[in-house]
Amino acid sequence: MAWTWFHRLASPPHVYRTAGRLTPWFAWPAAILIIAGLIGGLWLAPPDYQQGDAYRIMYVHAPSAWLSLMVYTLMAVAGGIGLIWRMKVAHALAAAAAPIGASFTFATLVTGSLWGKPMWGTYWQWDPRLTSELLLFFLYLGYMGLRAAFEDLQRADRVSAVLAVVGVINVPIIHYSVVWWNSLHQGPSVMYLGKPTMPPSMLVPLLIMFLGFTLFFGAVLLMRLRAEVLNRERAARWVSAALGGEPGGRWAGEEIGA
Amino acid sequence: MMRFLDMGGYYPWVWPAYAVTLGVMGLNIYWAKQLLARARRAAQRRLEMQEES
Repeated sequence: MAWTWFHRLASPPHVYRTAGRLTPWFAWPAAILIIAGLIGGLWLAPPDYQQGDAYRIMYVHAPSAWLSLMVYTLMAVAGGIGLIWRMKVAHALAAAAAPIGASFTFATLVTGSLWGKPMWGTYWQWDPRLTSELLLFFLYLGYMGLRAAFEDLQRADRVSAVLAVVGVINVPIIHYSVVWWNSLHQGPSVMYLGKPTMPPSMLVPLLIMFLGFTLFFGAVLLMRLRAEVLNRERAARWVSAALGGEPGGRWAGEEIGA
Repeated sequence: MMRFLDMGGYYPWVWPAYAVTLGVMGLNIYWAKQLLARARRAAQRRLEMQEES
């Protein structure tokens, strides 16, 4: 009984409508922050005394890497909620998040390689951080492939959720790989216990980019979630009410694209 | 301006890194918009078919 509000909050029509309303609140601040972060990172921040201007790759590499880890963790949490409470929207959220996470993991690997060439003299090294990040990319691809392999949506939800939950063990491995093993990759410089190892002139644009990328993910996720919910709720009355403006319907008169 | 574009000689790596990331962001927006538009069109079609039958 106490959980009624929780289920109502996660009901597909509520999620569809709320996601539509929230999207611009994520998208516009994301655009502003990313532009500000780019100006700060490319123009205002001084060159690094060791890496010169090559370190500026960090302003797109580190936020992409953050998203690659955060999105997979979100998918695992959503998958777990979907498995335990059988909440359809949780599965929809995980399914909507996966391609975004995969694309940013790809960006992490490519930008990391482009940073590695001038710094380490090679585009790729079978280093613990790089290898575990590549494994994360394959986990994303596996998750999406597994979902596509099942025609029955409920089975696809359950099986892919199990993969997301089991695969999340890779997330702390990626994060701590530079601490646990002797890695070519530099150690933590922002999420460092105590003080960040960067001066504020370099750190502030990076933090702005972290926030901008996170909000960007939120905006794209909300758009994909709406599509996912709409595809799942084929026969639901609220969909026809939303599209057709059914008289007396809860969604009557509301524009579906809002 | 040339100094800025040169990125201290690291331009062959800095600019492609930015291009890839901004490209990924652009594609994410495009794919999400396409997906939503397709879902809405499919839902509209289903509704029309239901009305016809």
